[in-house]
Amino acid sequence: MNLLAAFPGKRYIVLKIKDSKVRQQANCLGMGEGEDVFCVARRERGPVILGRGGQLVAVGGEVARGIQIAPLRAKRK
Amino acid sequence: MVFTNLTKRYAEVSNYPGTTVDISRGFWQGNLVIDTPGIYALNRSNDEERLTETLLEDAEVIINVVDATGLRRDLYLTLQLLGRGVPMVVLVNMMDEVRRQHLYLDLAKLESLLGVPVVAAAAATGEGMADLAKVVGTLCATKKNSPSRVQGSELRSRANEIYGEISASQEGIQQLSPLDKWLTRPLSGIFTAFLVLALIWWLVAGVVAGEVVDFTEGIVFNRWLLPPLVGLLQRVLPLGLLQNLLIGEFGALTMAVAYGIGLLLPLVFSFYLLLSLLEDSGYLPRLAVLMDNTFRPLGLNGKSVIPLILGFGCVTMAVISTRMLSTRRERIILAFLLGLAVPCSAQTGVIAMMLTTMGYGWLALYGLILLTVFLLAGVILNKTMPGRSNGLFLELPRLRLPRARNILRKSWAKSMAFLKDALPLFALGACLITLMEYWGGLAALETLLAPITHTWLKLPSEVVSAFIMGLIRRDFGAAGLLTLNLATGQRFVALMTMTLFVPCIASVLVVIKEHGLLIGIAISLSSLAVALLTGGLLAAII
Repeated sequence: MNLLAAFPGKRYIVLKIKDSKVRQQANCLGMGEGEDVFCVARRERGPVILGRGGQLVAVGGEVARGIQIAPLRAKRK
Repeated sequence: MVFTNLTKRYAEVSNYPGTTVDISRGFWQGNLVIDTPGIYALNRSNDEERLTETLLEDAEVIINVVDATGLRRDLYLTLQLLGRGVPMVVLVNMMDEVRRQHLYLDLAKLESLLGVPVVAAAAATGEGMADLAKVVGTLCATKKNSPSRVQGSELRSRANEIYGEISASQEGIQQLSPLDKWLTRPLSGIFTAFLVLALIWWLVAGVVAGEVVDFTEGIVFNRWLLPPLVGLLQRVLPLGLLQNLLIGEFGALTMAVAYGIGLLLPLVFSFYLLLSLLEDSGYLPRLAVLMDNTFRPLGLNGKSVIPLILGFGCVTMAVISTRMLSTRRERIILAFLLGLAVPCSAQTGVIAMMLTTMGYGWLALYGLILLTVFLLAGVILNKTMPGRSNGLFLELPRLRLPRARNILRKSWAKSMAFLKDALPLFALGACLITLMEYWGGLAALETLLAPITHTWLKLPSEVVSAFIMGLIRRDFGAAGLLTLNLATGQRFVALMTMTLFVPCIASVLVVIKEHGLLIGIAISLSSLAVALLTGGLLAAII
């Protein structure tokens, strides 16, 4: 699924970022491929606001479409 | 802020990423200190990163200022800097915020994991600056470290590991604050944006342009300063050109200085004060989120709203800040739109003064036409320019209460920069017009341009002097319209034409520096063409 399908309040793992510049930026901010992020807010056509460790990043609709994510299930105790 | 604390020199600080696009230099304890642009990594992926890389080649000591509340993010750059082997201290800033949020960071452990000194600080209050001085003193005598071996893709995972070891706080569910939600949701966000704009307009056009300028121009200059000065110079100077150049109708003192300081400085200062409040509160990035979808048809993303709003302060500075956009295509489109349809603070102040006296209907029409021209030009540029623009990817800083000291220092520094930049050009423009008038060139030019001014724009021929001033600086030209006796419709046509007129010399020079001579000329000529076309059409309709 891509980032535009994320639900606010849910946690996801970033699988793939299509655009190389965005991939680099996301990696610097700790939201790159393999990282887990919160979907904090989302508009239907974007932007999506992601959160991680107190930081917030706004991702425009077109960029969000190129980011593949998967839901991160809570670990059972 | 750390740089200002150390060198006592002001470096601009704002609450959004990409504030510092240039470098600042100062001295601290006899050593040169260079404030590099704010970056998150050294990937040579933009001008700021390349500039920082170049500066690092000669650095003897690195002071790596990291944000304690965003340490996980900033450790990536710290690890990259360690890789250079230059003696380094990590200054963990904003520790006051960490304590306020009841977070915990083990800085002793961080020091042992990184292998370089770590100092806790809160630059806003001066905390940690004495400790930094001691550490840097020791580091100056240190030889180069052996470079760290963490490279490439390992950097992020190592940064995460280090953060995990020094931070005791667990990541909970993240939510937007109620204020964040209010500002980024379409309905409430647009309502707030209109409210903010209306408030700015009321303060600048109503309070400052009315009350303050009445005092500074009407009383201080026209009653207290100029009459005795003009009287004195009339006695001392011989009649003729020299007297005209200084105290004539377009004199350097009676016009350039009186306009620059008496009329424009209060407007510019008040505008910068309000813009600084927006910048420092963190509101602008929220506006970028709100406007992202609106900007897409123009080939821009929401981030463009930041230079655009800054353009209402100074278009020249705004053109420089377009560097925060990631593609050349976006930077050129925005530079064009800034040059064409964004009046700077001084110009907006004068226009506000004139439109307010004309009535709200004219004000609404002015806004509507300007917006239409802006959108049309953006859409045309997006359709015709090759390449594609990038989407939005923008870090949202925390919303915070702006600090009065920073707001005042920043507004003062920018206003002084305005005077330094504008006054010589005003004086030059005033001298040029006086010389032309003295030697009969102004009358000849008025006749020559009559088909444009008189026939096409339906304006009196005296308007030529205002447009000549506008060629030098649009705000100076707009101020020149104040003295002309025009009917309401003519005044509106003249104002609209002047708003869309060629950008000021300083902006054009910056565009040439950033994008080349061809783009600079293209922007100036297109602005002139659009201004005359719009003005002529309006003159025919009104």
